[in-house]
Amino acid sequence: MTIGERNRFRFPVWGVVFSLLLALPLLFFLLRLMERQTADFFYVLFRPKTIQLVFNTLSLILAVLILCTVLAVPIAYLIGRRDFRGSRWVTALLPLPLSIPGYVIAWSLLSMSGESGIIKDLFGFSLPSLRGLVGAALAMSFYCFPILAINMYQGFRELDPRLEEAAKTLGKSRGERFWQITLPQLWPSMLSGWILIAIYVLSDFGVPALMGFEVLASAIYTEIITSYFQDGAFALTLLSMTMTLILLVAFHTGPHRPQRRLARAADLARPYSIGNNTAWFIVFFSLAPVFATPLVSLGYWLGQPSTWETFGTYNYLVPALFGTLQFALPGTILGSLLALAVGLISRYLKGWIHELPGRVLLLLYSLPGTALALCWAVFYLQLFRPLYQSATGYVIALGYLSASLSLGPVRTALHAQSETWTDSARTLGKSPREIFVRIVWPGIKPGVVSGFLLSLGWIIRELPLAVLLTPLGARTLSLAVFGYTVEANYAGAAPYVFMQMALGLSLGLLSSLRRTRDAA
Amino acid sequence: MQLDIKDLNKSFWSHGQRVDAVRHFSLRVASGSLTIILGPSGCGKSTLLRLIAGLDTPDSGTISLDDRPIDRIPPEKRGIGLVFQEDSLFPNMTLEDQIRWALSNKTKPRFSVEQLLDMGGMTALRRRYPHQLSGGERQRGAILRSLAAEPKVLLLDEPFSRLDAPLRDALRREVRSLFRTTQTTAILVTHDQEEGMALADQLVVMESGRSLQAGTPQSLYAFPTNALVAGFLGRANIIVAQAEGLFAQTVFGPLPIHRPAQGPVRLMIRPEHFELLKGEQFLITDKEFRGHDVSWRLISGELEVLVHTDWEQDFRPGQRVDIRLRRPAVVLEESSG
Repeated sequence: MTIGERNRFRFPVWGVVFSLLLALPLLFFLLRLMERQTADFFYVLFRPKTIQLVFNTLSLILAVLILCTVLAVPIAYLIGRRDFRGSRWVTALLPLPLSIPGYVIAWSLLSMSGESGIIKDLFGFSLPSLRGLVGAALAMSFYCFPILAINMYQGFRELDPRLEEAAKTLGKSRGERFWQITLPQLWPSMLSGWILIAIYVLSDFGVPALMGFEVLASAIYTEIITSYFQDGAFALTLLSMTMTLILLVAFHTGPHRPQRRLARAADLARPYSIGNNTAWFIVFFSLAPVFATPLVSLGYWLGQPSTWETFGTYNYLVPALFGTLQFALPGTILGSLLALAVGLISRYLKGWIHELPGRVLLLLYSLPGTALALCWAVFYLQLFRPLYQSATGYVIALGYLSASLSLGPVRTALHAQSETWTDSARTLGKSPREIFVRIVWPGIKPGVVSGFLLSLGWIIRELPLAVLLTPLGARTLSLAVFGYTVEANYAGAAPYVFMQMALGLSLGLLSSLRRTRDAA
Repeated sequence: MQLDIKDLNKSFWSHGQRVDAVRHFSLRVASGSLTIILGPSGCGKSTLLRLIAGLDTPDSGTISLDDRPIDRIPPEKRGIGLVFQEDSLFPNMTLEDQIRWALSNKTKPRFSVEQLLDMGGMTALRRRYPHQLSGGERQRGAILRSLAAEPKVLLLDEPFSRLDAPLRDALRREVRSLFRTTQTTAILVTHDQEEGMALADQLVVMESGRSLQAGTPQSLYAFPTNALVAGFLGRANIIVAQAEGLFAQTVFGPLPIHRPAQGPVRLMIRPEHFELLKGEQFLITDKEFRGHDVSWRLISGELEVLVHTDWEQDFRPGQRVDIRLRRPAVVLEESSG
């Protein structure tokens, strides 16, 4: 084999620089971890308390998976395979719970249940207190069951009805058809939904912290608060990261939905109609608790005169709103710039190493929030001490997180840009800069903006980084909701919950309006 | 501007397999001429153009313009234009804007935007966006846009292949006259032999990354050096024979050949270079009327021969005939295998 003398190897500068830049906090965590190969560290890693935490985490994951499956599968089946009046509305409303943070649902469940809960006040009987595993599992499931529902919905939609019909003509019974034909086709959707939910459960800090059910993510926080950045925090972070990594690997290597050829309309599962009443009965019992929980609590508390009395005395709604935006806006702008750079690198530079920065971003996004916060803290304390618990430090951390969220839309937009355009422009004598300004940017602008809105909506709800990295005394909406709820002052949290939901919903509305406009 | 390509090589890896897209490719393109590279799809034509334009880097070999090597010059400074197969117009600019942008690099442009639009007959369409133009109009626009940048050499990658036949014909003629007016030096690649023969000043037949033969379309058609070139440019009979000077002995008798040779050779005879006579040697097995001519299949023992004659020859399948050559048979070079 002859390799020409001038087949020069080009060092993939940008891919390497950006991968390193984005992986910095992780690398510093690993660096510090190396120094901790001590007996103490391994003792902490394997002590009974740690094992209890892992057990708690796994039971929470299991409980959430069961609850989510119960909530998601009937709905997904109804909107995927059946036809009833209003099924489109259900499909449209389904992702909505994902825009209400888990800790708001936790706030709402806590304020409803127990001896002094809203239920007691309104109906005279009381729900048992929802602290602990049950409450945590409920709050998380109400938040993230749409992930499974959307996955399963697609699975149901893509079922090939001809296979079932073929089985029918072979004389297979209903049961045989379900177990041997339908389920194997649905299994990949189910499994990928489950893994995504497990990654989320592992990463969430707010819900278990408020529900007083200690799992790895919340225990990292407790460790840092009680004994600073010592072996305990490191050991738990290592454990939770390992679990996330295993799940990520499982997600990327596990059974995937078969790559279907573009289905003709006639090939798609034909929804057949179902009685409107039956359908709505199922929809109501699945969705009502999810949607009603935060709305009822919010309505109740905002309607209480006592709420406004407290609020009048300690009103820092406006400072908290500005505090939130003061971090979230620059963080999201930084994130969009990073996502743009990472997207451009992976789109226009060749070689697998240029895919790496994007992978690093996705990894950061999947990690437990508190584990990520610890990495940032370790990195700052090690290298730029003043950045620890500073506005700039928090904004940078938010920027990385927001970059992972913006990357999807940015990438989609970039891939819609034909290489023929950029190649043509180069042969017309245009420099890469001119090509970006005149050709690429006008094409991807809508994608970048929708990525910005999407991640801004998420960033304003961010909690674990805020808890550990904001300057002391900083006020944000999420910190206020969390702080009041921890003190069991549910009335106090209500105005901030309202503000957060209003902000989140308007951002969601804005971005979906833009999407429909761009589509038109 | 004379373009010289010497011993160009390029290979890449695709799905774990090494693909030699361009192998020992050499070519000289004279100033103001149109060179057409003809080859089946996947023969490395597009890779070759990307190498010349600078969008890909060759493994080895040199590319020079007027004896100055240009291999290390990035595409935007090379002054070599490239027109793609389709949809290369920028979706966010009107036709006029695209041409104006391409022109904006020049301090003293040769043609104005208006002149270019007029030359391409597109003045009425100047305000349109690409999605408001037809396929043919888009390709014409892309060519005008490339000309606006005043490339030293213009490369065209199957520019007409996605258009339907009548449109392709018309556009082809337009483009040739446009290139003559602007004295453009151009290389066009295509897999359409008709297009290659009709347009080219110089025709190059390319196969598996190599240049098989280069020359005028007439010389390549009449005197191919190997069976692949012969077959690619039209129908051909390849006959094994024993040469002795200016004649070669075949199974049906001696034939005149175009150059002296000795020993075993392979001869190429175009079907239309035969004449049919009443005789005994061949049996007519098939006759197809094709409008402008008639196609005959003859056999003699193991040998099958394809003959094209005009419609006046009146034979029927089952009859026996003799054949006569209207010009000497072409001796293919041994290396062709």
